[in-house]
Amino acid sequence: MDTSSISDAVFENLRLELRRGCLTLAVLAQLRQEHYGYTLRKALTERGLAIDESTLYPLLRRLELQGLLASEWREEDKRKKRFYRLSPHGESTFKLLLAEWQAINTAVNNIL
Amino acid sequence: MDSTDLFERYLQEVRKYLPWQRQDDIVAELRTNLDAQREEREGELGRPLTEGETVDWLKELGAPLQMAARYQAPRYLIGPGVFPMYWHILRLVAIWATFAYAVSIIVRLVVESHSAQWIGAQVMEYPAILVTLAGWITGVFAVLEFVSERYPEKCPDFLAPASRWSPSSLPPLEKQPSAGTKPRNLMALSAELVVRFALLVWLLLIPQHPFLLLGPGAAYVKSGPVVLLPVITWFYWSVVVLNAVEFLWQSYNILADQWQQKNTVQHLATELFGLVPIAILAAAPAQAYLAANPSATHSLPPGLSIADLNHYMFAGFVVVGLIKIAQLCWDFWKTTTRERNPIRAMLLP
Repeated sequence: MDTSSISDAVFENLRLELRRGCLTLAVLAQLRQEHYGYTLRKALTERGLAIDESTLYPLLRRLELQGLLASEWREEDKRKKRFYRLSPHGESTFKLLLAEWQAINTAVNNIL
Repeated sequence: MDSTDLFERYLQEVRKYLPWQRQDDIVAELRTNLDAQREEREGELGRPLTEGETVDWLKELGAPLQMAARYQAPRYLIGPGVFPMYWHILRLVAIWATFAYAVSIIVRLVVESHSAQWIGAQVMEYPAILVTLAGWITGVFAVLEFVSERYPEKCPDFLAPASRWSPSSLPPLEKQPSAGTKPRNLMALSAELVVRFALLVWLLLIPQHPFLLLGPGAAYVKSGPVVLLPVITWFYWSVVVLNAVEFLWQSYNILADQWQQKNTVQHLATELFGLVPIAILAAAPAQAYLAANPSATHSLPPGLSIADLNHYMFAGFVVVGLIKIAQLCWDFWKTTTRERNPIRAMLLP
């Protein structure tokens, strides 16, 4: 394994670490409006945050299990879909996370 | 092979690795989301996806095992990167260890001379052997997980075989259970397996401890007016073999993830082989099952002879045999007249 591929792998790991927390925040923010999995992914991609299906759909399940999201199966366009939105607990958690994010963002900008 | 077929095969494979309580719900949601994505792609192209495009798309989604692994609770010992290979090897080892252990017992039984108690002891040792093997494999993979987490740049590709996964390797679609068929439950099936195992041990212990079958009557039989003829021993061993085969078959089904649907061919084969013990009894030389006990301390009740007993037993076995044959014919008829079943597919073009 040469030096460039080692640094690529290290960069990839750091990038994924950085993205992980941001993704959760972005998903919570987007789910202030109701979405089902596919439209949520599309909305995130349109706003510049592409996310894999195999990451997003299990993430939605995890957030629901943590009580941050509420979901229901409903028919739309003759197809049953599972719609997600922020739960009351999710809304309050989102506000706290957003404040934290803004504080970190300001701090990092000051450092940079 | 069309793109829908590949897509359904992908979902079928993902389902196999999902937690069984949430399989239906997760697969339904995945289907809705992925269908919408596919329709949009097809809308942009103005035509259905070709097979090659579907293959590329499924590759983008990732190997079914990895897709399913993300729905599992976080694993701190073995993470999703290493888990596919760990799971694959664990299942392979479990299947081959079971097979090798069964063969070794059979060979030792044939070559050496052992009591039923020895067989019982070997069977009882089996779970401990499996647990030890699983422990070793888990230990090795926990080390690999540790290394791949901390030194990912030093890990070779073989730790992630899912990256070399290809949709063309997806198994064909399995037959869906007909409407009204109750889906199988892994817990119930596992409980059934435990009961089968206990039944097998019980059967193997009977020759050394007849009281397990006859209770206090075992003492009476020892000095009773009759003894069992060798045909009963043959009958006994055929029952043991039948139960052992069913136990191994069911273990294999669970380990190979083939437990979701009842295997019709397997079920009919079991019923067919179930006729063997009865056939052994019905074909007994001179239809004799009992003989006079030379060391008897008491005799049969007046008016009852050994010939009468043998005659009644033979009649009983014939009746049981006929009932079993009728049951087999009924099940066979039900299977062949039901739509979408493997027997019908084999018999009818």
